[in-house]
Amino acid sequence: MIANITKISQLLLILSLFFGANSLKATGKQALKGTVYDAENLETLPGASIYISTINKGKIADKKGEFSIELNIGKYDIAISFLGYKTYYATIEIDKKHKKEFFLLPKIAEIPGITIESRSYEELQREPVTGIQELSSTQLDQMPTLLGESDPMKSIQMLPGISTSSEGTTGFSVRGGNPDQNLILFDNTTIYDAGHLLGFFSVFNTDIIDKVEIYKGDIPGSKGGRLASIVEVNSRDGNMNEVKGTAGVGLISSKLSLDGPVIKDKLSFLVSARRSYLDLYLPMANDETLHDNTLNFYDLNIKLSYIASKRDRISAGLYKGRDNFANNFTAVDFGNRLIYGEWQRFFNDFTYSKATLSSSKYDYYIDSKDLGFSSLNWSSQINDITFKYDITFNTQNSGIINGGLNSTLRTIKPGIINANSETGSYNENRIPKSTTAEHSIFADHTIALSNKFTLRYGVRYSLFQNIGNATIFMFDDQFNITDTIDYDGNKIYNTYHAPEPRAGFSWMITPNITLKGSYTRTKQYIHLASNSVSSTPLDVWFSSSPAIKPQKGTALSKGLFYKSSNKKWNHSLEIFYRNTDNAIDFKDHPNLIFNKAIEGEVRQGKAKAKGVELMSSYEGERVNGWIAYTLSKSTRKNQWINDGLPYPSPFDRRHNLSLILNYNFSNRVTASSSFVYYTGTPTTWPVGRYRFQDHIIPYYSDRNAERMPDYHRLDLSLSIKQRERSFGKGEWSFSIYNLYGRKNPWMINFQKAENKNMITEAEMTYLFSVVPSISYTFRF
Amino acid sequence: MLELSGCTKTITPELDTSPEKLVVESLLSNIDEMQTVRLTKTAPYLSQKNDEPVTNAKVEISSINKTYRLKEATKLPGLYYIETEQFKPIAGTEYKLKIELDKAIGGDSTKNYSSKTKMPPPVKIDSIKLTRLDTHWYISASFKDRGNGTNHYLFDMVKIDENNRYRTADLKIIDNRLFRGEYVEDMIIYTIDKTESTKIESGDIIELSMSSINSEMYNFIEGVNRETSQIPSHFAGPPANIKGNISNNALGIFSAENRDTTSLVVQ
Repeated sequence: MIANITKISQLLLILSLFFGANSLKATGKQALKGTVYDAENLETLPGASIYISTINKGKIADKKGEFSIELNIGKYDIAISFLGYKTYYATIEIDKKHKKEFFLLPKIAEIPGITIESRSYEELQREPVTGIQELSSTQLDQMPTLLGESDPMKSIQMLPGISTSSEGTTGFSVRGGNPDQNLILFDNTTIYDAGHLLGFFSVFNTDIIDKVEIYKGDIPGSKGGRLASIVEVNSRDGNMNEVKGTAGVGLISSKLSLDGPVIKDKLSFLVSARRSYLDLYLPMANDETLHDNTLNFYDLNIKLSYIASKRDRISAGLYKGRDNFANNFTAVDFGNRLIYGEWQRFFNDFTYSKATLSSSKYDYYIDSKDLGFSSLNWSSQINDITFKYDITFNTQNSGIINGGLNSTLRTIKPGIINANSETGSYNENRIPKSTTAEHSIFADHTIALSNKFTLRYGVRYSLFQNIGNATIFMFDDQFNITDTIDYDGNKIYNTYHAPEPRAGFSWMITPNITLKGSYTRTKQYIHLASNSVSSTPLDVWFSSSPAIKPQKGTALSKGLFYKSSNKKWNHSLEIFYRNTDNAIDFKDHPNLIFNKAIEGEVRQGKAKAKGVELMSSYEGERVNGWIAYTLSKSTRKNQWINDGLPYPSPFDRRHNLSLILNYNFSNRVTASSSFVYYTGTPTTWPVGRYRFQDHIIPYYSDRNAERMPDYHRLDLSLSIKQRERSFGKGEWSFSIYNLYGRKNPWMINFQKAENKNMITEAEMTYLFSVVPSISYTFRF
Repeated sequence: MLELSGCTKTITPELDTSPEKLVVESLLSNIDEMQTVRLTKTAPYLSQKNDEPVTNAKVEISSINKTYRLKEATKLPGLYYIETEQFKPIAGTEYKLKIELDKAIGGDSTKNYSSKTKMPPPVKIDSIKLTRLDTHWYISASFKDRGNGTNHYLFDMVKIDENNRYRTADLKIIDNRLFRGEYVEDMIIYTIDKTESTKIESGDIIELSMSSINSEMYNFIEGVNRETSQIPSHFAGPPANIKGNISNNALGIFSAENRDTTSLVVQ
């Protein structure tokens, strides 16, 4: 029986190929000729790229903005894109000689907001990658915000399979993974800490963001280095024709962006700055000691984009952001600094390459003052220099071939402590620095085996090296240091390498329904020394080493995707399974602060996550929105923790529901609402107590055996755009966060009751009750 | 942020309760008048009662050549003692603790528990100093670290005025990672807010003790400090039970300290 089915399906496959070939013979060829224009000033756009997704064929417009492609008679999906312009999608029927004009909208003409990669439906339907989200920029731009700050890192937490690591923060967990298993790239450059002020705000200024792409577990070969997800945030290019600007005033920060041509149609600039003024609110705090404190952050973005020739585009950018906090005793400042240059080259109609050289630095500095002997300053930093090269061949008949390499040289100086003045008497103390290199080469092939079946397969080969000078510690099986080894300059003293195979398929069962599946192996060589629910800016990154094996991830997912014929409804159902070997966890009471041998605190074990994700979205004229629900389970098992018994991951959220609903009253007035619900975070609570001297000591349950109360919240927002005037256009945004004032516990502390000997109590802290906010943005 | 919009409230969550367990507390000392071992039981976390003593146990402390039997205090049930006159621990010597209960506790199948510890080498405070700055008092000490390896220290402070003896509840510990083998001058040990009820006045006596302790005790106290501190649980990582050194999963610790005390009169 089975043999018969196999034979029949083989026959069907052959027949379908045969009919496919036959239809080519039976029909004639026609040239699709066209010209690409700027929709605003009607100038032609030389170098625009034309891509016929139905047959994986492409062309680049010539110096007059014209192109010509030979096509068979039939229907085709076409995508036309150009740097600084919104990609144009259409379905075109070729039946006679075609001469067509295409108009591309400059990106600046869009509402600046967040676009989560917006590909044509056909393209997405065929793409053999699961777990990429497609959401329109408008949907995300309308989402209610906390304190008026729209934030891409919080918007993505509304998607299935992604949940916040704790209320109000930019930290997130993807499919049960740790927040440090997400790689966040800004313009292809790693960001080590994407949050300001303990993560309540992200480092991304939405005025300059072009798009955000998220790969949840199913990661194409060109990307890697982390197990759970890759989030790519890209900035837009400056306007090549005229100077434009945006100014925004909110409750806690203000921002200003300017962009425009340096040389018209050749070179543009983009400058943006944002600064918070939370300090202004401190004198209102109940606690008087806070009144004179410093508490602020800033971001600065600069980008230059240059069209060197019709085939070459070069861009360079800088990002610098910093938080400052100071009171009478301590000053802390921390932040990221990125510098990058990127060169894109279109060799010919089918070959495209991108080379990026970038440097990323994250550091923090703590200065303690007026403490006599103990006064000290303490600094820590991580520094990356990365080169990436990526080349894509869009072959006529053999699909898309993508290959390239990545190379990063990483230096971590986990901590240097110095006595800071004449009064300080500490010796200088350094935690040995670590130098590592992480390389990878990759190749990926995507091919349409038939009209309905597309296959993607590839491999990434990663190589990791620990390089001297270095001091490393050897441990016995109980994690006691047995030996210290010093390695001299530039010697590679430890290497890990492994193939990371990736594969996926998409099968269009009907024109409305697609089945997709994928398999991904990944390795992670860098880890964050944090074991709390919320990471802090003072956490340090540490590399794999002889004592710390790389984390190894396997992800499997399958999904059914439906789109209604009128293209208004989208439904998807995905199931996933993730397995992690050598997952990082820490022993009980680890010492993660200023520890020379942090490896001795790490306990590697196994982690598993599985789940179902459902999403339905509707995009109508007046109403749009989506509902996303995830049912998942995420556990860990580690011989050193919880007596070797499995325990829930701190990011295990059994049920996670989000609902977004937007209503456009008119072109100028839009109301939005969002609702979030998730199962309480697993936690460890006391199940008894005892006394030691005058202290009450809690006796705890198994690790994460209890749960915090469930979380839910409803937000509303209203945006009113002013009429366009000759000098620009303004927009008011009103938001109410947590409309019904739910007191969601942020943490529950168990402690001795104040002024009562030997009496214990539980105290809950909640962060936000009803928080209204207002902001005003002016675009000119 | 927290200050601006956060709020706290006392709640009564439904907590599970584990079966009772034996708790041992004993810190042998070169200075105290008595060497004591206190035996109690765990209680439900939100219990309003005092901890329940474990009475009628057979408690013994022994070195290589001698065994001492401890007596239970009649007025303080659960407290077993021996006078230091009869038994004074010596640096470098290992001591063993043996406990035999008259009946098993909670879900335990055994009535026997044991532990061992070693008396650490001595330490000497050179001088102490009291400084007043703005709104705080700072009590600092100067001493020489012995060097050779990691040393651990525990501090204790007592303020004596006309009527009272006030002892800090803070368990201050430090290791010598940052001053190995150095002469440490005026290291601030205690900071006292002048507005506190313990405010210091002229004529008061400040007594500062510094004890050399072993790493087991240091880690235990570090655990106590962590589990009783006001670090918001959100940033503290998963809590975990403090590792003691008593056999058969009993809680608590049996250790020894080598203490030196110096005092000054507030001018």
